[in-house]
Amino acid sequence: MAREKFQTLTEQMFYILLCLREERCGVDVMEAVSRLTGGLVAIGPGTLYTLLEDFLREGWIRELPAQGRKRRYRLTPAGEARLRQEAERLRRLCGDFDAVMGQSEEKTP
Amino acid sequence: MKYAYRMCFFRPMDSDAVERYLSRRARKGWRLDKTGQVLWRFRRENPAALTYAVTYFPEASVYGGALTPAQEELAAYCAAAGWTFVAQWLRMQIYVTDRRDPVPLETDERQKLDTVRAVFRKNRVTSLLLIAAALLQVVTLAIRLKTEAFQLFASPLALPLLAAWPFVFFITLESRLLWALWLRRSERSVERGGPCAPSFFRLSRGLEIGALILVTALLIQGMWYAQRSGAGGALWWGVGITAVVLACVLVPVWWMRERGYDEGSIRNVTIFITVLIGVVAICAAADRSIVTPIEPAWWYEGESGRYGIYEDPIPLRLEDLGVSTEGLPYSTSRRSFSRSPFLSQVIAGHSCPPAEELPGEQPELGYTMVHVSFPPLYDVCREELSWGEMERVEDGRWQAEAVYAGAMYDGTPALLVCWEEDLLLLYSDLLPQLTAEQASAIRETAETWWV
Repeated sequence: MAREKFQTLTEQMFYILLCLREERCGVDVMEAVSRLTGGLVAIGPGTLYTLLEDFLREGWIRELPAQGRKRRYRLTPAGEARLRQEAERLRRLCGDFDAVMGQSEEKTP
Repeated sequence: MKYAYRMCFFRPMDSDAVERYLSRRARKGWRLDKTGQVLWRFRRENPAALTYAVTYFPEASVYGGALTPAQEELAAYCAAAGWTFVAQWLRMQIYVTDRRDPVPLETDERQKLDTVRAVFRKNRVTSLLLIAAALLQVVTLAIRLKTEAFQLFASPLALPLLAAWPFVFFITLESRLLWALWLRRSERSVERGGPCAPSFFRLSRGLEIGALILVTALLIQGMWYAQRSGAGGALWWGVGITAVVLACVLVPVWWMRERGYDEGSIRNVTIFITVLIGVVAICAAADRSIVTPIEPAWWYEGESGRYGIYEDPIPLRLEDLGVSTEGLPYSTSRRSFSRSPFLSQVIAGHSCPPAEELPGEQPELGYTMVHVSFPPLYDVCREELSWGEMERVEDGRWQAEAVYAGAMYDGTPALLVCWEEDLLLLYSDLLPQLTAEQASAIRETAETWWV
């Protein structure tokens, strides 16, 4: 069965929202994500454009008055809540990992 | 600058095939310069290892033209990632880069699939309408095959007619089915974390090119037969009108596209021109001014007007059946002649000169002469010509395999004479007066006239 869209955030969605804690245009978002992840996460321009439009529709980001021809965006409270929810989910995953792996490491002589 | 044009038959889902093709052309020193609906222009450059990539933009104009602000924004993102905008085709946006290991345009396959799905959702209505129209034509053709196969097969354009609409139906349906299959495979692959499935470009191109060659060959064959049937004039009228109609639609679309008009304006102009041409065509057809008639052998200038006198194959005139036309032309007739690879037919009707010239009700003589080249159609022709109602009779005058007698819808006595490959339907009140010698002469004509 197909997974519902935005049920979980992909790495790229997560980092785009994270970088939009500050007001940025699309090109700045790409650079910021690359810098933040040390180049581990790269966002394709086509994907970025589509995701920004999706986030606008979801109300997770809002468009700010344009400077010149560049559209600028910023995270909304709803977007921040969704980002925190995702971070919590990831923390829980990591916690479960630590719990299980930690136990097995203790048992290992 | 040196340019070369190539016909490109890609379909909207063939993004991977487009990318491969353009990269291959660039390695040979030809870079995409401009896209048309079918003709793409390539510019001569030094051979280079370039990477082409395609992304979809659901809001893009299918006619191309200038980029919208949204497309410019996408182009700016792409430029920041090292990609240069080259052209757009339908809703594909084509980019190129010379970087060795560029960040792909699409890095989220699920997102890419959603975008492609949005593009196809926009085309869905048009695609389904085309399938429905083609299916309607195929069903009509099937009904004609059932009810008037004789007339259908007698047309010089029988083969193209039999092939063209099934071809359109096949192409539209095949396209739709392959899209559904591609979508299903891509969804499964993406769900498992893989990429979208490759397109069926090679398969579909092979099928379509094969079908296109077949239909083109059949069309040429049909035109050749039409020319031989004497209907070449009407056919060239048809070809000319089709060319004018296409030019009337395509030239304004091209002009507006070149000047960057938006999709809505171009679509409105296209609809307006199409409707206008439709109205003109209907008026012209109603006026019959565009139909080329079969020329008579000579014209009889009578008191009440001018009448065409046609030459007919069978050596039988009303005078031969005892009718006096008092020195006026022996008869007038309206003749139709058609020839196809399956069968050939002549339909003619003799009548005395118009009532103003020779008062009183005058007898008539009509006939349909058929030569069947495709034996399986023989019984079909016999059934249609006899309306399935005539009864077999013994009539030694004709030296035929079978003779059927009956009446036409208006009660006129009719005879259907069947030889090995030829059929003759005769109808006249004067048939009983036909002598054995006349029948023999007619038989000889019926069997040799086609040669």
